[in-house]
Amino acid sequence: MVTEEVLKKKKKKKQQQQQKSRSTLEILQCAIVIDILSKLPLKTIFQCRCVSKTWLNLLLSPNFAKAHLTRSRSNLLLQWSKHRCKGGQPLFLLDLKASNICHRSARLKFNFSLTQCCYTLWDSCNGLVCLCNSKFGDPICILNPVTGDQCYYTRTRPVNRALCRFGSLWGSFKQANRREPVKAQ
Amino acid sequence: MSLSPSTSKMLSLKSSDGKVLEVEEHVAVLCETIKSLVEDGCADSPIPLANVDGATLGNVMEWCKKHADQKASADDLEDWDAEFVERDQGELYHLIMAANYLNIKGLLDLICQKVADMIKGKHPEKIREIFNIENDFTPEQQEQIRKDNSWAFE
Repeated sequence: MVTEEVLKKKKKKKQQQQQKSRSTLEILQCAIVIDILSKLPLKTIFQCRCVSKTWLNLLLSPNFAKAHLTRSRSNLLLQWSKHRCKGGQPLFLLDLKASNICHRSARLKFNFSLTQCCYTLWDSCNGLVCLCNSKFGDPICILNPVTGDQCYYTRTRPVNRALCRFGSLWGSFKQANRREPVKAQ
Repeated sequence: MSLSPSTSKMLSLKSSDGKVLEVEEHVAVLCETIKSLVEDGCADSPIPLANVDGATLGNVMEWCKKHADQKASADDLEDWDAEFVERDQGELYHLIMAANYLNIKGLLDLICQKVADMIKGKHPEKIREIFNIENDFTPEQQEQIRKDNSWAFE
């Protein structure tokens, strides 16, 4: 009898726990959770990657990238050449709407092998960035900073080194539906 | 068909738990789902809303009523919305699901923003605690993922 009561109590406790756990974000559809997460500032999004595997997968999904890109203000990804360091030059996301354009809203670090060498940010478009070896201009790496996906291209013809060094940076301006060169310092 | 307040008739909405709510048509049509039923002429009998319980339906219609009021100023609505979202998590999720089902973009955006504000600036440990999320990373995975995104914790 005593054991039965204990079992009953345990069962009740388990049910209560299940009810409690159901009142979490998990009861919402993935599309809604993606919508909520896409409203977060960049830094919190990267912190959210460490919450759980489910959240990590949601944040790495193409649907999240799409939702975030649609919602994003016009930001530019720039290379910060003042702080040349061993692990390559860091990339920063600049907020164009900020009063001070030099305000560094987020520093991005990528887990990819190219950082061993000195790489230059060549171009960026539609949320993708193009990096190339600043000395030889080769290979070229196309990188998605949100998902971390990357692919490499080796050029068959040598690249004009001057172009590499002073290559303009093209940013997409969604509102104006045009692209403008921005000088990266 | 005119949907202006002066000619608005009453619609009956039936929740999943069988409660019937009488709502003015110009208020109810803020729900796109109901609006299309009205436009198709299918809104005569009590409209069954199988995915929304009575309490949530009451809250949703309270929001719709306020937002259908053409006298309310933008500032007034903003203050009212801020008070409206002060609820416990369970209620917020039910409202999100209802707003999604009834296709009320304004309400869905409002509540999703509220939940996003609850996440904003919080560390993963705190987020797990608030939203009761299980940490299913192994300690090794946890260490690696933390390392990969370390800049966000600086």
